[in-house]
Amino acid sequence: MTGSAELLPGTLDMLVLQAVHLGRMHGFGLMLRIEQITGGALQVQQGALYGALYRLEHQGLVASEWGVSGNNRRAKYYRLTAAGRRRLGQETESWYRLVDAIGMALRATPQEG
Amino acid sequence: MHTLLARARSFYRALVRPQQLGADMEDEMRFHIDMQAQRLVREHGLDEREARRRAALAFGGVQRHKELGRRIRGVQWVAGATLDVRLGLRMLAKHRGLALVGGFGMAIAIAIAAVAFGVISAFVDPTLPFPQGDRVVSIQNWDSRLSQANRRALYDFGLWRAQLRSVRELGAARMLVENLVDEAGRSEPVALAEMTASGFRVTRTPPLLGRSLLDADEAEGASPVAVIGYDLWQSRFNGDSRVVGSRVRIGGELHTVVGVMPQGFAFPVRQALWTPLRIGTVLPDSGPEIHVFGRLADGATLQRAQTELDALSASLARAEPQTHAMLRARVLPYTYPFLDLNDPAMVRWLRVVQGFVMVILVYVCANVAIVVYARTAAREAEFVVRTALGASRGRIVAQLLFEGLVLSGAASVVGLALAAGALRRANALELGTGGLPFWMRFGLSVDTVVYVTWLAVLAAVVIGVLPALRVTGRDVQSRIRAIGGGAAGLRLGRSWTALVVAQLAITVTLLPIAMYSYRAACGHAFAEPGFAADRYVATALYLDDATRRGAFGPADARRYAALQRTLLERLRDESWVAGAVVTGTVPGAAQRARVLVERDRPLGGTRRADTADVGGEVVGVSLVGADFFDAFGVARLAGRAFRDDDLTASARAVIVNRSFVRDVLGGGSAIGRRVRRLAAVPGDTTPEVWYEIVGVVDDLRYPDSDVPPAAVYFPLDRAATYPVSLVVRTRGPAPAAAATRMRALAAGVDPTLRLGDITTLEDARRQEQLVWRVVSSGIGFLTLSVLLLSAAGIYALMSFTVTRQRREIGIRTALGAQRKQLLWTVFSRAGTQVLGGLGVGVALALLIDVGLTGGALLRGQGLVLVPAAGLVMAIVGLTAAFGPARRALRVEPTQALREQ
Repeated sequence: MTGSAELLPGTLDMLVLQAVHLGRMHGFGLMLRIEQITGGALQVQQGALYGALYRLEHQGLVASEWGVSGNNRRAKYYRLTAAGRRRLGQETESWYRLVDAIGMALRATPQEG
Repeated sequence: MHTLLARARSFYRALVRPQQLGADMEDEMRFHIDMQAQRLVREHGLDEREARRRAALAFGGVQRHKELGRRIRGVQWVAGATLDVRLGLRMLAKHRGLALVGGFGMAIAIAIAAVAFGVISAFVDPTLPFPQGDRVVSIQNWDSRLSQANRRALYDFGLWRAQLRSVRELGAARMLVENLVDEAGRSEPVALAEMTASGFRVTRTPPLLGRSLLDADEAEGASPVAVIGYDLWQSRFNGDSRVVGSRVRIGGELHTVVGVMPQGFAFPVRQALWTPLRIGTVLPDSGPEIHVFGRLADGATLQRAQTELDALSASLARAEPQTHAMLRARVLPYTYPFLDLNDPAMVRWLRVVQGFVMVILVYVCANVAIVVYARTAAREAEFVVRTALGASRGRIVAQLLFEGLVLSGAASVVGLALAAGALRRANALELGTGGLPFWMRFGLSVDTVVYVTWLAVLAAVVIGVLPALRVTGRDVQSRIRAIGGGAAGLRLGRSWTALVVAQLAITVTLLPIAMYSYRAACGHAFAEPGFAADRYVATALYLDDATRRGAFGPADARRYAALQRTLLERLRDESWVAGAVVTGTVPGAAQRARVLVERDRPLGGTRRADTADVGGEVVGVSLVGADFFDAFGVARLAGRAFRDDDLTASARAVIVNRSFVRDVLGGGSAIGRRVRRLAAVPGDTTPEVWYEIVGVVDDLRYPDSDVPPAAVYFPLDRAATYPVSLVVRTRGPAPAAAATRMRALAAGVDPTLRLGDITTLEDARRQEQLVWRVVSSGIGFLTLSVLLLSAAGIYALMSFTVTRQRREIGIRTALGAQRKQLLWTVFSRAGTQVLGGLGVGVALALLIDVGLTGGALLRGQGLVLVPAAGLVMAIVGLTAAFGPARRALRVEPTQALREQ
């Protein structure tokens, strides 16, 4: 057991939105941030991260602009838009509902009788 | 909504700057890989090269992620299309012959289609340059007995104006040409409309200066007023704003100018001057001929207006059975009555022509497609490899579609340029007097460009997609096997043979007809007159007061004849005039008519009228005076000229020309034989009158496409013919001021004597021939392109077929077959196809010829043309087979077997 887990299908976009929500950042930084905030438990396939970013940008949930990175290189920075913030709220809420429901289901024990 | 906007914005950015998008994604991903590599060096102590390798591996293919980025934005096809266009251009450069021949053919076909579309649309779907011009309609009475419009509708107009609800602002106009004499005394004929004031309201066009006509101007006893058009204001009044209030003489009567209409206003058709139409009391089916128009009321449709008119027509037919039993009022798009589009069948026919022109394009494209197919088939290996590497069938079809689009797109641009030039020239055409109607401007409209774009896509589908579907049709496995084994990839079975036969047959059928039409059109377009046409000035002579009254009585006839004599005398006194004659028919204006010739020469004074041929012959008929032939230098070959006593209604003398004697009489002596005109309309009750041929003259050569060269000249009765034409022969080329001088002389003889359009016979000829030149060059280019394309198509098909037999030839050589035998095999196959095609083609050509022209083509040049076309195609076909066959025979048997 290495401590890292498979990403559930459909959760990458939510994770990326949350990472961008924590602050304006470029793609590589977002990858590091996801590793960091999941305690290294979730590994994002690096190329797939960009698929998610382009998808979110195309939907108007994140916006991008070119800037300069800490090591003085040209990099593309992403930030959350108002629509992205709303979507993140909805996704978070529905995620917790799902986790609660599944948790409740898993906690159920066989009844006597 | 927000998401939709964001998506549209993202799509748009990716679409307009695809290169930038690609470069940005590349930069971003490279940055990521670099950073990851640095991290690996830092955290895992790897050397830089290894770190980069691992980082790139962990990232996955940059190209793949870029492709995903494009797909997400919905523009993944742009990169593919750019590549396809580039490939298409490369293929064009590589196969220059195909590009030139195919492109030329398509450009011509597209140009013809665009011109036909532009011209026919201008006729069938015109736009009136008024606010809501499409709501303006014409109303006319249709006589179902005579199958023509009855324009004496002043009585009906009164009823329609009072009762019609679905058509408002009903107006009427009577169109005339009258002399306008200004305050300085200058006289010139002007197209005039006597129009109700509502005519101006229908057009919703305010005057530029002063006012337009008012309802009060129409009242009996109102003082005469006139409104003038912009061009007339500029040319005759130098654009002087003081023209309003000045007085001009129109048709002998003084009018006060009350307004000037803006530039381009020429309602109802091509008018430059407007006076009030006074209606008064009229009886049914009487009064002058008028045109009635109006505007559909809000919410009304043509159908509703027609229903309302049907009810009115029915009640009128009951109330006035004598005049209205056969009349039915019809409502039509405004322009239709002016363009002889009264009949819905005519409109349908024009649409059919439009469709037919498209068929020509499809035929040309099919030819290009055959050549492209042969090329595509030869590239099969390329497509199989691409398919094996993961390209979908759609992707390959798209590639060939784009290659086709590159060719058809280039052809469209050239075709549009040609069409624009032709349409610009078409604007110079005169339709009747004074140029085109005000609503008609030929040119490249947005509709035409859209139409051509559509044609280009259609062409690309025919030349690109159809061959592509056929080539990519089979499953990959068998294709790879076939190619790997060196075997012929495509099966060239019966369909291929059918294609060769059909291609040859169509070419042999169409070529002679096209060449025949081309020669006929050239004959009209480039015929030269037999006399110095630039030294003859022709015009028509009108009596304005008689025209205005709409009647020409015996007193008018006497006065008309006297005025003609005076005018001729004054003209002959002019130093630049070599001669002047009055004639009923000017050269080029002869009528087509059927005449009967008495079969036998009269014997012993007994005339046998009952032995006349039935059916008669079509000839050109002219009305001329005694001095006509001298004026044009036409030699007398036999008999006598007209005498004064021939020029009366009771005389029965005619003169015929050389062609008449040859073509109609079959040679021999013509003098004393008798001819008569056949009734123009079946049921005509005009008494049958026989005329005796008293003279034979040489042919007067002047291009006239409508009538055959055989001519019969009837004597002109000056008192009974109105209007007559005046022909002035000048000493040198006609001076520029001739027209002005002639008008001044006519006005000096009598103010109501008006000369029509004044033009030299040379200019008239050029105008007439302009159309034929356009037609002949159209047919010529089309014929040439069809010939080239057919030859290229046959060549491609035949050489492809023979190349595919190479393996077979190799094996048979290895097995010891003789060269002669092998050649026989190749050529017997090719020859069967060629002969089959020629046979079907000749049979079709004969059938069409007999069906359409009653065999006229084959009696004449067709005898040469049909075999000539067949021979050309046979030579092309066999030549195409020869080259590859020779190459195949040179192949060493071992090599042929190795290719297996």
